[in-house]
Amino acid sequence: MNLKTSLITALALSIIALTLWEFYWRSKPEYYIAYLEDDRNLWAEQRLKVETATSKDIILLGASRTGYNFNTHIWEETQGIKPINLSANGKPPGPFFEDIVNNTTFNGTIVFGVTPVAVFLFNGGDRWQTAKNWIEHYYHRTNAQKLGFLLSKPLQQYLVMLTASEAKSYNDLDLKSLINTIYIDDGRSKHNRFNLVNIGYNDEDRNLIMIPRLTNNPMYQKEITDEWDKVIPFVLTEYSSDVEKEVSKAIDNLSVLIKNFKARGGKIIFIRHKAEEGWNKYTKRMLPRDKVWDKFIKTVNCPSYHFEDYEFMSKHTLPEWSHMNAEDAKTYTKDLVIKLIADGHLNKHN
Amino acid sequence: MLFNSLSFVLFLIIVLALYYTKLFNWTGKKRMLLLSSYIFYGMWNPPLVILLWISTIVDWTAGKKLAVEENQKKRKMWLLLSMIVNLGFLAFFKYGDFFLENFVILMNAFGIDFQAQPMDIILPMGISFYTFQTMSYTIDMYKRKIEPARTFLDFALYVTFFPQLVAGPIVRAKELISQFYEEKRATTNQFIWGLFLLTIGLFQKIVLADTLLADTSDTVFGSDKLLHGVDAWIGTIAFSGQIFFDFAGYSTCAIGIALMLGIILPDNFKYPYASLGFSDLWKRWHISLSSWLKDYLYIPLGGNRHGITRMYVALMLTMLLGGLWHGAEWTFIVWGGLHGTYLILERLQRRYLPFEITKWNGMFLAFTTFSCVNITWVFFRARSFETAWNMIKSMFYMQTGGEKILDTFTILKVSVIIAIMFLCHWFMRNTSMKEVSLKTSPYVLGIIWAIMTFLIIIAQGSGEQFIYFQF
Repeated sequence: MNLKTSLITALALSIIALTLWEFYWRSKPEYYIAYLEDDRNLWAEQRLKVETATSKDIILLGASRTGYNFNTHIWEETQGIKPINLSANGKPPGPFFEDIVNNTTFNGTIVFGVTPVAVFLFNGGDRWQTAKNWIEHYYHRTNAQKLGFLLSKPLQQYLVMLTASEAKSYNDLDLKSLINTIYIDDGRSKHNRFNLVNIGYNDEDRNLIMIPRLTNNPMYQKEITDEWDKVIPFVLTEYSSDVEKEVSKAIDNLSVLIKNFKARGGKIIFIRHKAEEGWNKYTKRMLPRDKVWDKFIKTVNCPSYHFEDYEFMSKHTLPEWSHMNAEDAKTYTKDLVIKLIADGHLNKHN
Repeated sequence: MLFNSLSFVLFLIIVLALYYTKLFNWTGKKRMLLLSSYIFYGMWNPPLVILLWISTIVDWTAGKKLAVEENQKKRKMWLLLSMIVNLGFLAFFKYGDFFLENFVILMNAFGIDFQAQPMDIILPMGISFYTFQTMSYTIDMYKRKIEPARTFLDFALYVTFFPQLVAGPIVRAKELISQFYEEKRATTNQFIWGLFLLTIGLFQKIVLADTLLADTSDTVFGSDKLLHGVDAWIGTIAFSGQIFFDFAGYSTCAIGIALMLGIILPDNFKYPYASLGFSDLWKRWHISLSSWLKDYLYIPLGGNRHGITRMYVALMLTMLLGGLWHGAEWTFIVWGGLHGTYLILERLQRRYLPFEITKWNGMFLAFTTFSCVNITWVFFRARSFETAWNMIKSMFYMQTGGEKILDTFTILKVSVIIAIMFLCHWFMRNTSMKEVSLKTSPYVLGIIWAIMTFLIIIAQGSGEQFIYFQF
């Protein structure tokens, strides 16, 4: 048995194959870019900052709209403080808020981005659990996991072929995601197949940045809006007594947490980000503003900003109906921070 | 620390570098290996290393006393001490909540209103493995089957040797401790073969178990719906493949890593899904546990020395406890009970309906065995009897109108993988990877190795824990 020959062959072929694989994906820069995956490890790094945060600090909570629409670097330039970004793509903010209120002594300001479906309907479901899993990871991550993350950072930042996400998006490059793109459409399973497409990447501070091609190419935008069209009508159905109960339950839970948070000196500001009509018509159908948002704000009595009420919040066009592109996110962040300072909700520190 | 993680890659490189430098003599290398093993374990949860230390100190002391003590009563006391400490750890950490929960149910059944808060005890990784390993030492010492370890360092390294610490193989003292007496150094061929085995193990875990099979099994067993028969079967065979590739993958990695250090660990799997019956299965599946159960449970319970009925009772008890070893749930006990029943039925068949196994009926028999094993996996995987029973009903079409939750491609993917796995086991059942590789061109072996490496890297395993770590 000539194992040396086998080893050399294996090494040479592996290196060649991996190099070709990397260069192939690098040749599609409009689709793929090397970046640090926004996973539970990166989130945990931000969460750790809460332990030493003061009353001057700001925490951002919310789902993907908060991630894409805010830019913490611009926020820092405008206000003088870089917010701790705990928003999480595809996850409801409820568990994270619960964690901050119940498990920390933080008494600064929380800017809470509200995507109605994520805040009022995802209570206790699968997505709620995925958020809880991140929190669990923060408290129980092992030294081996911390070391592994540290080692993986430079690899993720420089290798395009490591493009991947927890959600296993349609356009991720890990083997499982690539295999998942194969589908025989013979109608066997009644489940509606939704091709979750990754529309952006992120920096080390967890700012989500929309892929530039989405900003100005209608063809790419349509790829995403077609997927939204396929799935949103089934998720956001009609307002009903069941929905009303669900919403009331969510408001009750949040009210208790908000009361406790305020009692220790914390401030909380609710932001309802824009969605284009293609998306928003379904939100209005299932979670009408007067029965959900207005009722919620009245109950919790906190400062709030709804995109329909402010021109600076609704002036941008969202390429795929739901999130802002990187440039608009900068303007939007700056405008909002200036407004929050003007309204006395934030202090300027620079 | 997990084999399928970047931190382990760094750890292994450092250990190998220190092991093969001339910085240390053999004792120094063993000390380095011991310290590395504690780091390997402590990187998961440092305080729980204390349990390893207690187990090591107690069993080292018991073993030393058992070697010189002649008074039978005192010998028994030393053995008892080792049993109490090791089984006590298992009882508290692994079965504490299970006992408490069942105690509450029992009290309530008698009309006594008793409630208790779950203790939520953290389960130390690999506790079932290292306690069984270290107990085998004291039991063998008690039976005077082995010599005591020469030094504390040799014994501590035997208990803690990192390649097999958390998920086996459960190695007997006579197989491992004596290897520590003289300096070990892998030959070039051993080192490369060890690296090849490590690659195969990682391929089984990352690509086959986690990437190709886990989602299907999770979807099916996580569904709260009554499923169509095809979906139930596909979910079950997906789990059957997943658990094999996960566990055999770990063992293969462990054997490979040890070999890179010049240490030889025994095989733990020998193509079990091509077993011809259930006695054969337990000689091929998790061999180190089944031989442990045979030597330290089945035989002391009487084995086949006291008549047929007693033998069946011993067999059933062994399998029930084997089931409980896997987890503190009644579903695991049922899994063990089913295997016990299969073994008894097989013995009855051999006694009353014997037949010769030929190459023609062999494959059919192997397939039948594999199918029966799949039924047991339903109870092993399901987190409740309700789920398990629903799955069984779906698998045997005892219900109509079950929901189809899997798409056609997933069904094809799982079926093809499992069919290939079954055929590989069938064609490999009387040979070994080593023998096959000897007959294979080194270039072909290199190409296969490269394909596996490529797939492992692009799979980008997210460091999923091995299933058997929880046992």
